[in-house]
Amino acid sequence: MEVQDLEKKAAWIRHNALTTIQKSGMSGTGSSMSSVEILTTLYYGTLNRKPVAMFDPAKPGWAEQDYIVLGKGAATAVQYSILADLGFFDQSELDHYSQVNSLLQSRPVSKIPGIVAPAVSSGHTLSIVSGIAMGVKMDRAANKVFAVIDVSDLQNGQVLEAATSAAHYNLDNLILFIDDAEFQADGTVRAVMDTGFIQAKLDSFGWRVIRVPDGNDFDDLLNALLKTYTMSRRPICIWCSTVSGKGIDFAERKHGYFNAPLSEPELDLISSKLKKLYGSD
Amino acid sequence: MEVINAFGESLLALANKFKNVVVLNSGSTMELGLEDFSKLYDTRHFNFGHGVENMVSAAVGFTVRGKLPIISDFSVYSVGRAWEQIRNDICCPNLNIKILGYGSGLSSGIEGAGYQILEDIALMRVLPNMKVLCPADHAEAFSMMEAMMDDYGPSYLRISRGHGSRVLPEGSKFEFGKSHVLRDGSDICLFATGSMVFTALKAAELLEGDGIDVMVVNVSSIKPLDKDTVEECSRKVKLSVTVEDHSVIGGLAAAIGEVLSERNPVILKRIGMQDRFGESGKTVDLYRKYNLDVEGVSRQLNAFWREL
Repeated sequence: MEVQDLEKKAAWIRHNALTTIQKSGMSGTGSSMSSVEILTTLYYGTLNRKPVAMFDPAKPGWAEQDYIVLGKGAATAVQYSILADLGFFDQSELDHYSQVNSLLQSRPVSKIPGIVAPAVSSGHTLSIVSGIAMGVKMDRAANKVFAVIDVSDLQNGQVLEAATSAAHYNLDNLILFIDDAEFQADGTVRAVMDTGFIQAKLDSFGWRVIRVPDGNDFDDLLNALLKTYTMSRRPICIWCSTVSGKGIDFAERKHGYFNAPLSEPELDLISSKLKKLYGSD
Repeated sequence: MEVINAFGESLLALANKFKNVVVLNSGSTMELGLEDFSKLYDTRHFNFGHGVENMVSAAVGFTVRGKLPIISDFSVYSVGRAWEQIRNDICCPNLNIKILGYGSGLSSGIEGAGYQILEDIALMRVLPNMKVLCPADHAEAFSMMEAMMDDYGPSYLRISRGHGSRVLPEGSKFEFGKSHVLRDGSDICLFATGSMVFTALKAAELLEGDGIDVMVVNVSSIKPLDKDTVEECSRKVKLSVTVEDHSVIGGLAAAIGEVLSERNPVILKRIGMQDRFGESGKTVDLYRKYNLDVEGVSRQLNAFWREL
């Protein structure tokens, strides 16, 4: 998909995810919107005319399948909207997100088509994807493992354990995206528990870190992924500066929207804008 | 032959049958007797240093690639520190991952209270999908490993330090949800698990001299529990008692008590650690101090009997 189409797709995903969140009574408007471009790049992006990640809804467990794991719980509705669009399950499932008897649980679980590993607890994801990457290396296979976590996940001690072991085991098939919108539920990350300068931190653990100044820009994200093609022997982190509430002009960089759903009038307002972007009547 | 040796030995024996087995441990290769497995199958053994939580969650990733992970460490870490990882990452999705916990209870003697986890049976038993096994001797631990590997789903194998005597009859085979009467009796039924099975049998012999006839049941499958055998045995005697190297809260006593309260509500006496922590000391001295040696157990049984 070309960048222009990715932008349209992102608008469509935003609209679906916001609607899904609002219907479900869940929160997380700001924190889910910052991840839209990262996830869209992983699922729809192409580099050198090949998909960024290989997968096929019709062939789960396919030998060439790459793995995408979203560890940022607040962005779950974004991932579900994408999986529905790609045909992993029916679009109507989004209407029941996190409701009783629903397929789509509030956080990703393995029984959902397209979800490769459970991601129900903050801070466990880097360990889980490391396990996948170790299994791939054991099999001398070439599958890639992509993970997306929130910058505040680095406050979990387990993430530092996983960062240590991923470098120790030279997991060069692992690419970790850190969505850094500078907020968490209680305020700014810097005020609550400063995660510091990620570049230097992960460098010193033995990772390679690529800084993406605008993690909501497809060109920036694709360029970073292109750089990974020439890197080897070490796990890679793509550290993305993003904007909380991206794409909703009145909610961007506003902490009040970070962990809240949109009201119905707000959703109507933004829906018409997004529809124009992706070209629906 | 120490019970823990069965772990490394069974892995060596099963490594060819289950070519997808990977062994994860956190800086305890030597203590767990994994050196041989590690040398022979170096690509299937992963040491996580002291990163226990990372190890437990990483096991999930291995299952995504079709591997059968065996997580192993001292119980206070493998199931104590990483409880939330076991709950959310392994038990919720019901993944095929096996967990070994070594050195539970006072068996960790001189290592002190920090290692002597007395709550691990309770912590694992409460989790949906988890099975909890506690071997009476080396042969049963080996048989349990075979059964665990043939089974699908998470299970917890609780192995104490030391306790090398052969306890079960030759050729005994472990089955999930089966308990066996090792000694018949008509006065007291003593439900025992793990290292306390040996102690229970010896205590029963001692009580013979006092004219008290003690039945001993090996409850090595704590979950699933052999409810029928528990009920039947309790109906044959005048008093039911449990004995375990674990807190009397939440472990074997609770498991037996839950069955009896529904099927045969009788008085149940509980021998074990009485809602307290241990301390450092030789295991034999600790068992003596906390009345979990043969004399201590028989003394308590005698007192319960006289109270009746």
